[in-house]
Amino acid sequence: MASAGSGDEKAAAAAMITLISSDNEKFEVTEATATLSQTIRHMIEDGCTDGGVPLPNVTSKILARVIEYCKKHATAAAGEEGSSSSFSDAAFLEVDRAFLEELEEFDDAFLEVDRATLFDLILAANYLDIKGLLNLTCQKVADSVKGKTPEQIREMYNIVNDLTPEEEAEIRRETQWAFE
Amino acid sequence: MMALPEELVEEILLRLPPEEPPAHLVRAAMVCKAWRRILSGAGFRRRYCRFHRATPPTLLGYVCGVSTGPGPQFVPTTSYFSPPPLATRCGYRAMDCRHGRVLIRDTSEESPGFVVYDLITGNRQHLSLPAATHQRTDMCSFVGAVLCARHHHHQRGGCDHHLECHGGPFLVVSVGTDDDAGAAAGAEHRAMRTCASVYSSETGAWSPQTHCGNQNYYGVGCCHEPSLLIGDTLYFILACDDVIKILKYDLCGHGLSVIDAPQVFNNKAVLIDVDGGLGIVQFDHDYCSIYTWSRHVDAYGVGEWVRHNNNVVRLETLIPTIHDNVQCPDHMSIHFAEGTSTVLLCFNFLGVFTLDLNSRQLREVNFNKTCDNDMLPYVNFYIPGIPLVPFL
Repeated sequence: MASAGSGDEKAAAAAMITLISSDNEKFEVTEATATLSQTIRHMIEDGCTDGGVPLPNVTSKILARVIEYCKKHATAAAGEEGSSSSFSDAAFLEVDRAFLEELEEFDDAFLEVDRATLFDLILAANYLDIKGLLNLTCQKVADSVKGKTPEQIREMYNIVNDLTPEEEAEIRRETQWAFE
Repeated sequence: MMALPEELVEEILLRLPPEEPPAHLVRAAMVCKAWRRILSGAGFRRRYCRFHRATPPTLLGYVCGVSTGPGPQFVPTTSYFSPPPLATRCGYRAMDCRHGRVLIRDTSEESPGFVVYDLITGNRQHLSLPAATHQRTDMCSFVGAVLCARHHHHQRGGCDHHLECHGGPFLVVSVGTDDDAGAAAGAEHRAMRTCASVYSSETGAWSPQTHCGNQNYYGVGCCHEPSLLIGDTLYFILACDDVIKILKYDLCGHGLSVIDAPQVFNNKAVLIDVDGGLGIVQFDHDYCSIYTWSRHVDAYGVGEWVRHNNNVVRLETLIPTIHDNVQCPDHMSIHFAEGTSTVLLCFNFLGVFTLDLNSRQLREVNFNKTCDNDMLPYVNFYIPGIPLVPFL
């Protein structure tokens, strides 16, 4: 029974899905990688992935990056499932910790992109409903805003200040302590 | 940033770290109209609260002038939180302080009752006394507690920072001790009777009274100590001369009962929350030391007090001049900031200090050398900063 079960799992893991970017590039990924996206998971469940999954909102450049992220994190998810049965094994925990550190390093390197790409990744993560990626990218932007003055934030993200001088003065007056 | 729809900008702003003061949020609100709109939008406060649920409460100040003087005043212990001055007057006595509200007893003859004061908005509401209290002129003493009416819901997995309830409905619990007139007649020991009643701001009425027998002379309100809320239970100190007992009031079942306390002096001991269980912090004048007690309840419901002798804070090592200045036990008082691990220590000739029971860090917060011994610590009950930003 056990060997038959694991055989089925292998078969499932090996099932391939084709993702099609907005500029018509095709990407072959395993189902385990693709289902990190809740949007694609639902499509698979509904059985509408034959002939590929068109993703008209995601360019090939961004989709390649998203797949890179999903591949890495799908391995992590599989690793977690495997380790749960032998959680008391200290050696295994050691390996787990090393892997988590590696994952963190991967995430840090992954985020080394220009602002336009970062925003495209946020949009893609939101559209594809990939929680981990959305959290990672939004946190990156939040960290960059943290500690900056309103002027610096506007400059960094090309935002036009459309607050009237009165509105600005009002906020400033009410929250003077935050600027002291 | 304009390339992102507002819901995604909100996702980003949610991830700004909570802090005191909330400078990140204020600066973000000054970036442009859209950001300001998102931050002040319906639900942002709630979502921000959920996102940062684990942020611990901190002490923001205390209310002094509790039992004497011209009326209660707020004294900040941080540089960034200074609410509008309390509209106070002679005859106002602060009794309790929780979830952003201060409970004041109006002892004036014209309008005896309670005043519930929202420290952040400055709103106040006057309540009459429970009918039974009003009629009994022989009521020896009574105390009160104020809390958010949504506290039960928050306890059951909701937001425990009471962020959503800000300015919302509240409960006031009034507890009084009096001579049980019937039992007193001819009895060798006078019996005391303690009764409790709850006011709900939603119904605008006091509940029927709950009673419990209370032997000897233990009375509430002799020590001006506020209540302690742990889960759905309020605890009050009952005092008889220098000895204390603890009154327990169950907010769900409305049951009143009396718990034994260790031999600690009234006014030199305060009830604390030790990991969700009942505890006591005691000041021992002879040794100028702070001791912690905790109460353990066994499988049969029998409670036992344990003093943690390995966790003594010797104040003389922190305040070298303490022996010269605090010569009499009456020259100091101790107060607990609910939800934190901080106690406020008030020494008449030294000033007011905060002591963190975990880190043992001592900090002077008020240099006023002749301070009032009675005070109510005020703790933030929300995510740091949010209600301090007026437009959020």
